[in-house]
Amino acid sequence: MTEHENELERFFAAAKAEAPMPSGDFMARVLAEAEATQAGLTAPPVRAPAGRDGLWATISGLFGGSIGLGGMATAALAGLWIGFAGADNLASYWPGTTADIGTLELMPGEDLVTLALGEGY
Amino acid sequence: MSMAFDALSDVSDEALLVLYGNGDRAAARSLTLRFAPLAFRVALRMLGDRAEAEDLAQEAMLRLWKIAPDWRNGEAKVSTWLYRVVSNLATDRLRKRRGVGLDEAPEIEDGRASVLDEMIETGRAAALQAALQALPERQRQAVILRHIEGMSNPEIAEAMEIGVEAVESLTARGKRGLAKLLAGQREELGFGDD
Repeated sequence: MTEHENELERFFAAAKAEAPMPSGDFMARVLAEAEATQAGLTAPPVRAPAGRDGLWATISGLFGGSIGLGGMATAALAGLWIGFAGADNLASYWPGTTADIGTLELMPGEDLVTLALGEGY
Repeated sequence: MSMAFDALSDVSDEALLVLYGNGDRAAARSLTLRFAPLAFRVALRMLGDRAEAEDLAQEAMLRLWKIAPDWRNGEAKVSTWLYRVVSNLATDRLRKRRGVGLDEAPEIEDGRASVLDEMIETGRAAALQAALQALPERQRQAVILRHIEGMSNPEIAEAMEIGVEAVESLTARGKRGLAKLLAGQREELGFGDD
């Protein structure tokens, strides 16, 4: 080891011997942060408020609350009644004749196609 | 503030970190006692400013607390991990402070020791600390970890994320730089008769 290296070693030894120490406040801050972070790591997961997380509340929420569920219940009862009574009897609930109900055309009629072709479209 | 004795002194650093992640309050205290002074010490030697070193060390420790649940045993030593975090944070701060990249950091030149004359305090430790501040960051980091913290070259390589040969080169250049910087202090620091 050269003379310069020997000197440096003595500087390093002095630095080790006089290692800077942190303040008590610093140590307290670090520990407080350790405990606060730890509390967050081990805290139980946050749950929804009691009374809103039952099965009924979940289903009700899916269908838009009590109003939505009421509409669904009415439709279900109507369907049940029609199924039980038979569709033929529905005519008795219609104030006119069944011919008045009319029909709905879902596809354009032949006349419309002919008209379109005749007009050169 | 006085802190209680490390009640878990027989427990390894890595096991302590796992205990901490599981909510053990004694582990939080033990880890603080073991590593907060280390983080502060390295930060102070890198930055040369006590308040800034405490701030940086606290930030590094917070990262340790947050990584605890994901810590996997066998991947790294806690101390090496912390050295790396402190070193990286310190390097970032030094870059911002100086406004230049590490590659632009000047090498030590002869005659630079005269600059130290204005900042040298009495005592070898203080003189070394002042000289360290004049070294390029990477050299300073390697010298601190090798010759003051007593880490092995492979540990330093891991902490600095470089190869062992690069560590050897940095410490050698750092020591040459320190020797030049301290040369002018020989007599007043008790080396005059050597």
